[in-house]
Amino acid sequence: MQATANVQTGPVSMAETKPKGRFNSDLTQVWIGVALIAITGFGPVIAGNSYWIHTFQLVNIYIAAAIFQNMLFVDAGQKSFGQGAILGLAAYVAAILFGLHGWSFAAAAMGGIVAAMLGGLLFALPALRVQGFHLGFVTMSAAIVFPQLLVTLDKWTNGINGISVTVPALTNPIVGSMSLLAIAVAVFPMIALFVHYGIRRSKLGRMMFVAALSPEAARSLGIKPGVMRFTAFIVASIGTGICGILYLPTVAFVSPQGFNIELSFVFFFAVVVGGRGQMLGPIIGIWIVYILPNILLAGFVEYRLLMYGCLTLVAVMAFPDGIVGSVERLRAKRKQTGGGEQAFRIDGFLADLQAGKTVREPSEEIAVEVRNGTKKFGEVVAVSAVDLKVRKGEVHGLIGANGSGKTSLLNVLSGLSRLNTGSFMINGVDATNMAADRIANMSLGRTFQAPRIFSQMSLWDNLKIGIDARVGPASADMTALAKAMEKSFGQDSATLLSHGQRRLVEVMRTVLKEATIVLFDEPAAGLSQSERTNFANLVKFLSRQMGKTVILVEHDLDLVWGIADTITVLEQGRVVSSGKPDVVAKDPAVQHMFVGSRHA
Amino acid sequence: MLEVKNLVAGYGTIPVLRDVSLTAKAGEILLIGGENGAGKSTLMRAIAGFNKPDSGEILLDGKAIGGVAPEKVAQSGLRLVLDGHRVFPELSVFDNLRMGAAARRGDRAGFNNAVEEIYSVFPILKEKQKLYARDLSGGQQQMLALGQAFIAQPKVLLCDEPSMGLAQALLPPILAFLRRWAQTGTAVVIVEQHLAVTAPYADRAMIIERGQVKFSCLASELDEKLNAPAVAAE
Repeated sequence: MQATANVQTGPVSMAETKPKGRFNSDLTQVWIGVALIAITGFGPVIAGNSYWIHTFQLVNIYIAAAIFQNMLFVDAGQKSFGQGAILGLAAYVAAILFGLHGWSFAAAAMGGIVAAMLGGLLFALPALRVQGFHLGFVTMSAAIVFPQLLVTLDKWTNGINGISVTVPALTNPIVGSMSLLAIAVAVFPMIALFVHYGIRRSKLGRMMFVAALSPEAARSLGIKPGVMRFTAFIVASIGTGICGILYLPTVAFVSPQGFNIELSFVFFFAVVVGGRGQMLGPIIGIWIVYILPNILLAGFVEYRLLMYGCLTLVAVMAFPDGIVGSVERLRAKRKQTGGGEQAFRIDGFLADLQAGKTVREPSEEIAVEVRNGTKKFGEVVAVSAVDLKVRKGEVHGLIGANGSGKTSLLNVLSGLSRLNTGSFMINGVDATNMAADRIANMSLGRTFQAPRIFSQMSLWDNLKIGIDARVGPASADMTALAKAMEKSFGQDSATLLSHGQRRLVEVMRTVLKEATIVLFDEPAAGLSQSERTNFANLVKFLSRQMGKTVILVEHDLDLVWGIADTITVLEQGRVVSSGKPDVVAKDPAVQHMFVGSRHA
Repeated sequence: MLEVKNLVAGYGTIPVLRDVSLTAKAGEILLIGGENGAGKSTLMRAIAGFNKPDSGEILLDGKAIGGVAPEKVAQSGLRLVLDGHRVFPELSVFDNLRMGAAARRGDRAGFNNAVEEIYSVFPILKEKQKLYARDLSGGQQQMLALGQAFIAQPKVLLCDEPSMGLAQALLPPILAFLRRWAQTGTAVVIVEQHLAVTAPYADRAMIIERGQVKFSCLASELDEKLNAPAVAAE
């Protein structure tokens, strides 16, 4: 016995005192990116080499467009293959207004950006209905059609001849050989980088990300995935539109050939080759995908499509995460923290929260009521004429065999699926036909059987999306809890958490959301005995000290009988027993469930 | 049958498992317990070939399988049933069971018998054999995953938390089923949190703590061993 007790000391303390590496290198990458853009943007101007000035101006415009593609593609999960058309739309509309109709450049530029936004809206519409590569093909079709449209509409566009413009006010030097345009073209990609970084770090960015990865989880956090997609497309098309405006004085000429599908591919390949989602990715990507074939190998320029293909192939074979992505992966692997026992535990935080709180009993008011609710999937009746009343502040256990309709009922209550007949009320409001996000914003929170944990975000960001989803101001307790958790988990990875720990993270997410009604779907599955005890304490705390209503679907009957005020038993979608735990325990209809339980 | 010697494995630079050794003999059930994050699942994944060990040996029937690709490990007769019910959602229940037979072609009669046995242990699977696996509840998918493994008739079966998502009343029949299965000459390793329910069906037990073997003992002594240090500490 003594020998075994000694085993547990040693390397552990070493691992714990090791300083934590950063979860990601986004900010570092932004600054490296700014430096690279500054060198390529201002370097040639200072050196006075007009060939390189022109070349890198175009490169930096494309870098900015690729940065917005990166944001749209990864952070918002929208697979658009048509961003070249958006850039072209802005450039062309501005060229028409400025070059053919004599508008001022500023007004024409505004017109171009508005056109780009409308183009973005047009892309966002199919995104409401289709996702993934379906969306990719729709947007790609638009990008293929765009140059042909320009030729066909020659009455307005000058057709194949294109439009030449000169904007001396922008291209004439103001300081030394530096023109306004040179400054704008160098600064805009930097702004794009900061916009991308800012969005990623913001509440909007996290909400976009969650909506892209798990629309279901997003809706249950009160997020409308469609709104997120629209926002992403609009932000990206404004940014890409500005690129189009900058393109106009830089190239001084627009023609349909300048905006064919190839341009869209360049942006897309740049993101993939550079590293999907990496801040620095689009810069390195454009350098490789655009500079290499078009400038360094300019003698073979007619083979450049072939070269894009070969470069992308070689790059993704050698660096499946892209070039920057592969370097970042190595760094993250070396610095990664957050796995192991106690990688996520709640008892410490709980003890602080519980101190000095009064205990109150559940009220007699009704928080959730289901009346004669039936839910069918085809011929299968998942929930059958269920009547259910849950009092405010109580812990309501929902138990039953596998497939008895427990999760189906939770899905109905959280708005993810609709009752076929019957109705249900939340805090006295009929919620039968409400969308999931509206129900979530009525202060309802839930967890899922398969925890929705996003490994691309740090452990803390995974929790923080609970705070983002909160309705109303934060309570002092939760602010303190959030601070403590940020300190502990700010740089931890969520990838290494075990299944049970992931469940606890999701549970804490709903706690941070400060939902007044929480639905837990098998929260204790995979928890160890000590974690179960902690979880039971947490539920008691939520109910008795915070006054939350808890509906608990759980197979661990010892746990349910330990904490529930009321227990409802489902069998093949029907309620077969409901009432106080000791009464339900004696019900002959539920005796068979206790096999293997200490409670029997 | 299965022998692991001084295994070190992990994901980053910090090893999750440090110097873990175990043996699983044919006809026996070895129960592995421990806190979440202790490294139990990593151990299973390393044995099945999903994680490349940093050092140490994994022997299946005396043949080294450390660092061998998972599909090769599966072909040599080792089967891992992962937690979180992994089945093929777009195949029917019956076709999912048939997938288990991919490792034993040509044995029609054996397959039919095995399917019948699965149906007798989990009647619900027979009832739903024509439905898509995605239409099963979480617990039913777990049953299906076990059934699929049984059809494959591996020499070594690794089960990561078979109780996950299952109604409590179902755990004893599943354990009894694993027990009978082991007695036909299979070495079974079960990772479980519900030690008290599982121990009576197991032969030997082992507790993993912070990536190391804390102790191993006969399953019948597990309860006593687990409670002993706590009492001593008080």
